[in-house]
Amino acid sequence: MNLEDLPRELDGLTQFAKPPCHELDGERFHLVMDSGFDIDLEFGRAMCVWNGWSAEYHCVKADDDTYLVTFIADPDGVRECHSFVLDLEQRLVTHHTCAAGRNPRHPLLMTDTYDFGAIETEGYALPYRRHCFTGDLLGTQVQWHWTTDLVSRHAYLEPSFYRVTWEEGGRMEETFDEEMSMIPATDELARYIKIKDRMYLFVVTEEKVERLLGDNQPFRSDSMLFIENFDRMFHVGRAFGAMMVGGVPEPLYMIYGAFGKPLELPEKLLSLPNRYTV
Amino acid sequence: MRSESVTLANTGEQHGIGQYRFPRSYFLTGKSYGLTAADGARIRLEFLDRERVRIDGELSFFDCVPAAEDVYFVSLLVAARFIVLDLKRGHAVVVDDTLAFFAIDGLRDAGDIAAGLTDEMTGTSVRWHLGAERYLDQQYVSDKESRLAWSPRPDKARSCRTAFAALGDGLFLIEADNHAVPGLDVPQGLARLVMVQDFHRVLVTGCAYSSVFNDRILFSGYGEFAGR
Repeated sequence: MNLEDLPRELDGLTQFAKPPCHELDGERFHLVMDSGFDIDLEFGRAMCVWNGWSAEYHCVKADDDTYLVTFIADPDGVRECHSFVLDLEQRLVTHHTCAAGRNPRHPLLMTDTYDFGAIETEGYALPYRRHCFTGDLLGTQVQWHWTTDLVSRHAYLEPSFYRVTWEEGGRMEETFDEEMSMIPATDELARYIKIKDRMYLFVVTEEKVERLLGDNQPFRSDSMLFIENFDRMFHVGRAFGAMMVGGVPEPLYMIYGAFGKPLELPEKLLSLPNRYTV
Repeated sequence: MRSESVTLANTGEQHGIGQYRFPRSYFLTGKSYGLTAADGARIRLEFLDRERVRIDGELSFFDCVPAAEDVYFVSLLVAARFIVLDLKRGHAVVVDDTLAFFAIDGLRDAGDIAAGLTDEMTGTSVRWHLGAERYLDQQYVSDKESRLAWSPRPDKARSCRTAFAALGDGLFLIEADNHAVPGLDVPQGLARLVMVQDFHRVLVTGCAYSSVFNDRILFSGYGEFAGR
């Protein structure tokens, strides 16, 4: 047997995903949300019940007591991705929802919503603190290794954007360089949420590239969500959107993960102005 | 725009070779398993809570890290014992002075244990990245030997006694003497290694430990084939 034949390299971004977590099997949570729309979540091994709707879910851990739970649901006939950061250490929750179909000019464009809340726990008062939007990450640069040859470089420069580059000559550059050369910059819309010290929820919506390239790209308005653990230097996350197959957008949904390394990008790259803002 | 040379990512080196360790798993909490070997030997495991396990009545603290889906790497603070519980394929390996193979009652018959020693890894060379600049180079020389070199001295490879077991579906268990001398990223004295290596995802979970001091560092990481 040649062990070098075993890696599932076609898995791409999913190759270094953490093992799926089945710890929540049998658990029930009542989430008291700031929107006023509370949520009941009940977990089996593969299925969860969310306010009475049943969905297949995926769960990965971001640290010993923080869980990313994500599933697809279409209660109103619209394909939505729901992601929960269940923070059992602080009894807090962040609920991220995204769906396409709300922009008549760009039907694949994703719309994101965020809701924060607390996890009801018998015998304890509800916490008043919340996960929150933050600027803590601004200035951070990090290199994420998705496989040994898929490497992306993130620079978190502005509260609503991030800048992505790739290793010169690497597989990422090979994959995306042509596409990116057709648009003004690789900056993209992003949000940063603090979960706890050195752990952040980072959400990218590939909106600029969708507006500018439309059908001329392989991936369509993906929502990429990461819980970045800077204590251990890895992330766990999921992508939700569409990819072109034979000229037709097909649903895309994947659980992924990567290992991080410190990075210092050239000053000239960092000091380039954001070409998407006035 | 804001740019700083010191960023959150630059602080990510404080755990040494344990930097990329996966989050602990609490899946086993409250569960019990009976293990039966082909020769009829039996072990009873009762995971009492997140930290304590009773093994044939003997109480121990434990740590558990997932090695793959439904595969759990359990490190027991009783001497130098590790257990790999493979709930997917229904077998378990107990690592003490030797490797002992068991079926998990209710999941597999003791006469049908599929895990066992192997020479399938011979000829392979991998660098296991365990942190930003922390790595272990491992070259599988034969079914009883590997050459190990730790960062930051890849030039200081040394032959080490090694046992290899196939768990199935590209998963292997490696138990080896470790090359842990001063000047390397692995602390001195952690003279043995136990690892589960997943060659489908090229991920590793394991432990460097000292049976003398009962000290250990759990780690996880990703692999890169030599020459790629």
